Amino acid sequence: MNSTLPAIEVVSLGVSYGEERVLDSINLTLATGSITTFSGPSGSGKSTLLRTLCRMNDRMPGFSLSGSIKVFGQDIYGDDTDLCDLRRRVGLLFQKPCVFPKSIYQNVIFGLIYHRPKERALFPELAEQALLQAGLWEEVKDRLDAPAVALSQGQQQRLALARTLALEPDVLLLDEPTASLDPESANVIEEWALSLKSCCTLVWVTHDPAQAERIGDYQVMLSAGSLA
Amino acid sequence: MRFLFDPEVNWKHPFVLLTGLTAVIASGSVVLLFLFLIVQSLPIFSAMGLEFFSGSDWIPGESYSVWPLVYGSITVTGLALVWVLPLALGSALYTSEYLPPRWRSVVKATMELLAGVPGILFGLLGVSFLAVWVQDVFGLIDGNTLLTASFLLAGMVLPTIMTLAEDALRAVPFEYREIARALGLTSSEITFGVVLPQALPGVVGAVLLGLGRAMGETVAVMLVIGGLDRLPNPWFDVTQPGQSIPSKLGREAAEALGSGLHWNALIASGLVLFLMVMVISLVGTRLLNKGNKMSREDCCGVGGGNEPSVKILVGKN
Ligand SMILES: Nc1ncnc2c1ncn2[C@@H]1O[C@H](COP(=O)(O)OP(=O)(O)OP(=O)(O)O)[C@@H](O)[C@H]1O
Ligand SMILES: [Mg+2]
Repeated sequence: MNSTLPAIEVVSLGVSYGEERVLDSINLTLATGSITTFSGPSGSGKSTLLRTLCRMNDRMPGFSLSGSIKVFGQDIYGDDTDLCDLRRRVGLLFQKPCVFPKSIYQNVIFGLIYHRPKERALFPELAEQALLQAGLWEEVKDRLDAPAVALSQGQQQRLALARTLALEPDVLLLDEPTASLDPESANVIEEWALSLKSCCTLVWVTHDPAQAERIGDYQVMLSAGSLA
Repeated sequence: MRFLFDPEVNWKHPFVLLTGLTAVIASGSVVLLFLFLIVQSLPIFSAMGLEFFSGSDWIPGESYSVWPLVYGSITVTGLALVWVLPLALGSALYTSEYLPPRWRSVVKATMELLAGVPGILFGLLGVSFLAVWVQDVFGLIDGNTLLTASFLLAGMVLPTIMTLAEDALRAVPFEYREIARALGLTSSEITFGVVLPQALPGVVGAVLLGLGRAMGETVAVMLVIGGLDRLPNPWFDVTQPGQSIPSKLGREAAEALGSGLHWNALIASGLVLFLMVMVISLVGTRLLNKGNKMSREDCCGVGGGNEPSVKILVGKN
């Protein structure tokens, strides 16, 4: 990884769903190892922008895009992009927590099974690391085989975070990761985010100005699909 | 009695009485049917004993054995299942996972329409083309065989199984696919690693419901199965004519009415069919409901109004 390259470079990005213009002339540069917060009113396009950064909108009906997005210098909407590799490197945590109806452990290693199938022996260790980083380890270490759906919403959100972290992404896109958490768990995640800056570039969507102030190196305001 | 009589309901209200009465009639008729079958088949059981199930001949006036008919029913439906499974599951997977939404609704509408085509129409097609084709391809004297019936049944239940299996696949929450995609899985990894395992109970249920329908199909099978009440010789040679229970009943019920043991033997065969289809359909419906319900509940916060309803297409014939 070349650290002089910005992690993500967005140039005059426009996104439409059919006739509806959802994002317009967005220019953004996210420095490697920084935390950028996105804020803005509901419906201003924060989630859409995040999803566009890892090409999760491609299959949405009516989706069209103009401008360019580069991840570590590579145009991700170019023809030779390996989508699976891109989505591993640019992890996305959805706004709505959702876990698979499997055990806690199976949820954490879910992506690993496909990305590192030959290193199964390492999975328990990687799972522990990921759960520790997501601040969930202490709560679940004795019941890794319990069904994940039995966890509370906040725990499920942290489990989803661990599932994404286990893939060791270079960029992490977090869509309101602390919205359903109590202040204490939110704190754990904030601290984790700050500690992670050395190896990971973060984008964090939040409605809370104080939180944006606390953790953001850069704060981006969106309103009606444009940067404000 | 509280579980039967809700204290909040006014039992004297005419509407309550009326609907209660219809409910009793509806459920009572099933019980009556079952009783009718049992009572009317008792004579054959006392005359033949277990021989009714294990013998190998059905000669009116002499001996009655349901075994060749059961063999025929199971063989024909089993083979039909073998032919239809790859087609139905393949097309259900493709339609649910890869087909653009516009085309999906076209395919679904067509399949649901096809699922409602009366059996006799399939039977006519079978007689005019399928039997002739089987006769030519296998060099037979007569194209009406167990194999022919299995091909016909496969065609008949394909739309039912396909559309129910597709519903089960669609019932897997969209969110699961999204998460898996965001974790960098390919489309086929998502289909086979996430969607299919999750939808499996529902898919199996769909197959069983189709199977129940196939097992009860009368007219179409009657027209192409050959109508021979004997095990083929050797037993696995399905290019010989055979007989299934519903086909037997359809052929002989009218003439056997009131003829003593022959009639009782037919009714007893009907009882056997009833039990076989009932077990298959019950298990199928349960799995289908469980599958769809599981998919709905397990994904947190999901539960939109767009789950496909469980349609029960068996028992039309
Ligand atoms: N798949 C889609 N098809 C059509 N329009 C969409 C689609 N997804 C989002 N939109 C529209 O794009 C706009 C931005 O939505 P988005 O979800 O990005 O907002 P948001 O800023 O994340 O809001 P919130 O804070 O409520 O999460 C909305 O007007 C929404 O209606
Ligand atoms: Mg959003």
